Amino acid sequence: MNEDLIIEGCLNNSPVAQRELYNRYSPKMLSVCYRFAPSREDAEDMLQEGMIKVFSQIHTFQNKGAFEGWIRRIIVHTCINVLKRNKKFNDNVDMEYAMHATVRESIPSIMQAKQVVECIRLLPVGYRTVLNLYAIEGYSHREIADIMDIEESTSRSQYTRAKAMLEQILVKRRIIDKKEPKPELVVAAI
Amino acid sequence: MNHPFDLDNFESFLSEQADQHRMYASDSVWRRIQESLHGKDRWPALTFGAILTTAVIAVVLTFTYPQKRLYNSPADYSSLVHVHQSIGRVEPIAENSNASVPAKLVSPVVLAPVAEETFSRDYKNEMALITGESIGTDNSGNAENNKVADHASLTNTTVRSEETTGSIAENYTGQSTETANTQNELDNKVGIKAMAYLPNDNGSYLKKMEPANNSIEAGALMQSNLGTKQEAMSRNNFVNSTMAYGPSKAGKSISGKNRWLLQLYATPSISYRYMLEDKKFIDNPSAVNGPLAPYLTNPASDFVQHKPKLGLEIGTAFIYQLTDKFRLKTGLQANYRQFGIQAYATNAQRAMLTLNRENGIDSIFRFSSLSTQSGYKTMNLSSNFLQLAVPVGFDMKIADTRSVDFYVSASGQFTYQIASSYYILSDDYKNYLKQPDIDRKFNINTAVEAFASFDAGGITWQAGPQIRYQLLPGSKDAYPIREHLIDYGFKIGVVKKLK
Repeated sequence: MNEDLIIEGCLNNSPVAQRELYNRYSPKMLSVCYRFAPSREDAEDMLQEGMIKVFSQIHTFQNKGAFEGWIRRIIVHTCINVLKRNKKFNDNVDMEYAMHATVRESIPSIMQAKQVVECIRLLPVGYRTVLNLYAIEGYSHREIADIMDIEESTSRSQYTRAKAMLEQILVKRRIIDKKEPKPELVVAAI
Repeated sequence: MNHPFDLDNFESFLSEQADQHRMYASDSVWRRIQESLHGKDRWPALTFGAILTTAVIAVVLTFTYPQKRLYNSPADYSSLVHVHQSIGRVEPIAENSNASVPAKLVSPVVLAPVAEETFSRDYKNEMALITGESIGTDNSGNAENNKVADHASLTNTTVRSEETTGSIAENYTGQSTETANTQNELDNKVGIKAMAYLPNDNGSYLKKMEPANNSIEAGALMQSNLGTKQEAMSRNNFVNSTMAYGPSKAGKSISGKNRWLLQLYATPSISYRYMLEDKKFIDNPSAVNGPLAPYLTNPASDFVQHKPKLGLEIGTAFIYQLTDKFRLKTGLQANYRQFGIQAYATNAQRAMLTLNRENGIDSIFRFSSLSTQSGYKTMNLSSNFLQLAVPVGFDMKIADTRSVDFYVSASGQFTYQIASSYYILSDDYKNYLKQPDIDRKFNINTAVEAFASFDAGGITWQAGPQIRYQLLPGSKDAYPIREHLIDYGFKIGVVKKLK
């Protein structure tokens, strides 16, 4: 079933088309949720809430962009709203935990993509959210500031710190080659 | 392998890695999404049936309980007789009271006005009701002129209406009043302890009547005599006109003649179809020489959008009353069942149907213009079945009130399909087809029901919800999808005793 038929079926509230859409996009979208969420269960809750929004608002899709991108935006906004609702942004930043936590090192054969995602999840919630939005989802700092109700400068500084922290984690996990850190990053991390 | 990290490409590195990542949600996520979008609509008939049954029972109880005539006898019995409840134990009451003593419904047997000492028995006499009009009373103080009960209160468990025969208030002469069963065999067995307190001439109540020697369950014995005493009782209208009885259901007996009942019923119902893939095809298709869409990850039911439709069962049954609470039944029943399917009209597509027949795989190619998924127009298909069934089952009474009995019932129904018109799925679940030669003609259904039974208009009515399930698939075993029909209905019936 191609994408147009899926959309048409979903517009007709067809369970078959809805299931097809879900099967097609839920693995990617759950991964998105997982990068934002504190746990897998929370990620599934976010996915559920987001997909319900997708199905109920599909009539607003204008065919002006990629359908997947439209779904992704809904999912991301849902994740942010859930985190806001649960006040996860207020969690304390525990640098020590982030730097020394183990990321399933007992599974050496784990794929690199999954390792990277798991490393991202080690970041504090605020850092992680900004990093996800800016580096992966492609939002600007202005948009991030609007979404998260923070200052644009805060978004920038949090991203810088998140980036530095993630780099160190990735190096420590030997996912990336170790490089001499630039001075400004060291300062930022401290 | 470590990634050649470059801070300038940090974002693209992360984005690339994140895009490659996939996770698969548990099934519960989709179920919750589906419930949120479409609701839990799989069992609407149960809710409907429960509400309807409750409403019917409430209405019946409201209008029939308690029976108005129960305490509305024309005469005021309360001042005339008081019946003690126990047998063989009498407590003097209201010795000096002039106040009226309320009539009391007692068990188990009988009562009558009692003189102080005399308790003559003549069990061979038929009953004669003593009424106030027939017994002369005065206040002279003579015992013979004691005011007597012009009505008597009969007991609850053995005396009721025309079926009740055992207890008789035979005579009253002021000094001696007798109450007894009239059966000869009771002479040596039954001490009918009729105890009553009657007001004597000075307004106090007479004392007890001594209990008989043998205190046995008079009620049980009397039941054995019911058949023979019906005629005698029919001459006495006191039961309906002047007596106050106990609970109406108690004491109802079953004689050999009235064990057979005839029932006529109709059951409007809505049908659903329950679909299962045959595991032996799906899990190991090579083992049964059938490919049959094993590559599809979703169950067939995900591709079909059912819509329930109204059907009807009508039938007649012969019921044999085995005991008061248990009865067997069999009969003949005609079923019209139908359900709807939402489909899409599309250009004719090649559809394949693979059947695992006894002599090998049979691949059938058809062209179908009915799609399960999409098309240029939505269509509502209807699958219809006309069946003849022989139900065999039982009814069991689980509770009763004064006017309503409650039963549960179960039956197995041997069903023959007279005619049918229904659609099946192609191998890839994308099209609907018809293939009449795989219809299963003989099938077995089961039905469970709960109903309330009550008398109205001279006949017994029954009403309650019913669930009916088709045990064998609608198609022969050659077809890899097992389809079972399930009906939710509301059964309404009338029952009449056979003469």
